Amino acid sequence: MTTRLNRWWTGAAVAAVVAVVGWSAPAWADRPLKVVATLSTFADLVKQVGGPDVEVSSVASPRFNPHFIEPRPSDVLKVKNADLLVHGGLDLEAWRGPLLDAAGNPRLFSGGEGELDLSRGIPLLEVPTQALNRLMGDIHVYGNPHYWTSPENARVMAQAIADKLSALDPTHAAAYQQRLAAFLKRLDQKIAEWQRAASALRGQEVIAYHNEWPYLAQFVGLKVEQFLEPKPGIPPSPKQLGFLEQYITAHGIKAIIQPTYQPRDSSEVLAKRTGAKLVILCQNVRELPDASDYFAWMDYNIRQLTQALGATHG
Amino acid sequence: MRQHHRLFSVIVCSLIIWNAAVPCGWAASDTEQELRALRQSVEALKQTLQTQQALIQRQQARLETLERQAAAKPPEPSPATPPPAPSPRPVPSSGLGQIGAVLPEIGAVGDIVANSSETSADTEGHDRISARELELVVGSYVDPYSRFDSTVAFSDFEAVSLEEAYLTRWGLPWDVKARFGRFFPRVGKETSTHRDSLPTVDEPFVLKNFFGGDGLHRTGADLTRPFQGPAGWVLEPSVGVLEGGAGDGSVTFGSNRRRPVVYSHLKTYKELSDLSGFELGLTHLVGAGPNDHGFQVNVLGVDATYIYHVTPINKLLLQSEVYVQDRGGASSTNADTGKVTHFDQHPWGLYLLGDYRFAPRWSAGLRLDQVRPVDTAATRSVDQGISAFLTFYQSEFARWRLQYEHETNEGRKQDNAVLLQGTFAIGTHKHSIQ
Repeated sequence: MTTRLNRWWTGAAVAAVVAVVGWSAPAWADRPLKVVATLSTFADLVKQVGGPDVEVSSVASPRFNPHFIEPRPSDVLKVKNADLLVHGGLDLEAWRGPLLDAAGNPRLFSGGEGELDLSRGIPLLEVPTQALNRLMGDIHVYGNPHYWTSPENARVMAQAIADKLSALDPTHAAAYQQRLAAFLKRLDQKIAEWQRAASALRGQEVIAYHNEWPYLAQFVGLKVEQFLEPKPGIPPSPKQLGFLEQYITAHGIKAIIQPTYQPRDSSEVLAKRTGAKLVILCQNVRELPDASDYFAWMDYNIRQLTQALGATHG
Repeated sequence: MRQHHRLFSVIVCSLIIWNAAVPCGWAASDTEQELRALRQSVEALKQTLQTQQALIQRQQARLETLERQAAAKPPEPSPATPPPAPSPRPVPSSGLGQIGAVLPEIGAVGDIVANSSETSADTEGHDRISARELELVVGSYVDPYSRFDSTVAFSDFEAVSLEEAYLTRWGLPWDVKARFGRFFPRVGKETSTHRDSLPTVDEPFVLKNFFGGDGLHRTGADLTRPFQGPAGWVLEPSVGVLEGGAGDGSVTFGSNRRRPVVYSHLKTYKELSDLSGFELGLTHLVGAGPNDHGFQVNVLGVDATYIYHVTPINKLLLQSEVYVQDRGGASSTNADTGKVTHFDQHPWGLYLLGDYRFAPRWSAGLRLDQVRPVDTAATRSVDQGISAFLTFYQSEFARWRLQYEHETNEGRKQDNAVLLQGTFAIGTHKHSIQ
């Protein structure tokens, strides 16, 4: 009886040790890093840098407004099992906090080793210099959060991703740095190409549905000062459309830009009344089939703009 | 570091200047003036502090930009070079900068309802505009392992109610997540949902009758853990122990709070596509009945939810919940006559709900209710209802809803009611994941 008990205790002790060792060993020691990105664009950047050494997925479908995502139980599980969460920081993804709380993966909380905020180090635009309140609409207290739409910021984001992947997975650090270098090299070439193509856009003004293009506008030299939304997050009103009709006519504006997920009715009415073109851009990678990866996405946006505003881009 | 010294110097200088500016005979001056002067000084100090913090943040951001750009510029691969350490810059969690990191998230949700009804009963909210509920929500991370959330509800026709006050603990063995305190248990679908997130003005009849008019929020503890099931299904089992009793107006369980209610719930979810998903849930509760004879009341429930985003704007929601009770030996004995009355052993109820967001700011829906309530008298009745509702989303934080409700009670008069609801949120407003 004593022998059986001893065996039982020995077995239990071995099982406990195995469990503890298994529990404490790095989960990714023998498998690709599991990375969850909030947006498809971030996921594509992770894929460009991480290659086969990461398994990446995203939460927000690019077909939806990234401000208003309703994470699903499958997203909760993805985040729960992730080694790294790559997100946009600031106050873009108001749904990120509840998603993290639901997943309960402490590594991914703010400041955790498995968290990467891509806004760090990005020179933000439209940082408020005055006290804010909701009379101003759906405000962004840290500045405009749509920074990933400028390829200049892709340099900073890709570098941050490579650094984080290398820190979490040192055995593949060299591969991450090599892929980063290749990405940056190609990005430099493409930036030069995009800037050449967009040279005809410089100084032109367009109208946007929502204030989500200041970084892209800065990159291509466009001016975007008027929006269909009278205030951020507030749908277009007849008064605003009336004002924009006069504004477009008075300033000779050729285009109204918006992503696929914003309603088109008001933009189409305005375009019809004024003769301006409605240009559908992609806010994120994979929003349309033509925007299949980071470079295809930027190619698509530049092509749409140059075609609508009188320049050409292959 | 230098900025911190500068900040400290500014604060110290401000204090010295303020101190010097106070006249010697201040003790003799009027108390109100002193207070006003103090307030002004504090405001001035706050402004100085905020200006300095903004300056520090801008300088840190600029420094990191330069560092990152410098690191990203050389395109040549250098595998032998160790990767640079990521620069740690804490991101402020509110517009108050780093002060926000230590302040809790505070929000308030107002729920104002106007109700015009045929019923002659002068009960809560009939034929008047009522501030049905004002929820004061306060929550924050306690430490790296836990979070505390609380909701206090005020109403103009009932006492203040503590709806939630619970700690969530992560990082437990087997990745289990625990809650401890007063919370909405994961029972069914709408029972575990805050009122401001419901698709209708009022709760379905079955939930009101079985779990109380303002939802089932009880004190206890529960555990949950999601995991990947077969064929792409996500499974999330939960188990919990709650204090006895049920919500306000409910008679499902006895009023003795010492008799615990044990609940379990299995949520299953299948992602059908990027645009659609289906959720099926199973619920079981067991607790004491009115006679306080141990675990004699069982409640079984099934909930199903289908969501389809027809377009990024248009969204279809179909939802249903069915509950049935097993009330073993539910009866009462007349003390005078000794006559025993046997109550309904298996009260049950269900609702079917459809809601379609047909425009960016508009949605419309229909709900069908049927419930055979828990009876405490010998009468049997089946309540039926049909509700049609139209919702206008004024903005992300304000919503209006108009609802028409037709109710028939077996053996009783029919009732028609029109309800207009305004829901408004200020401060931090988060929707927990459903």
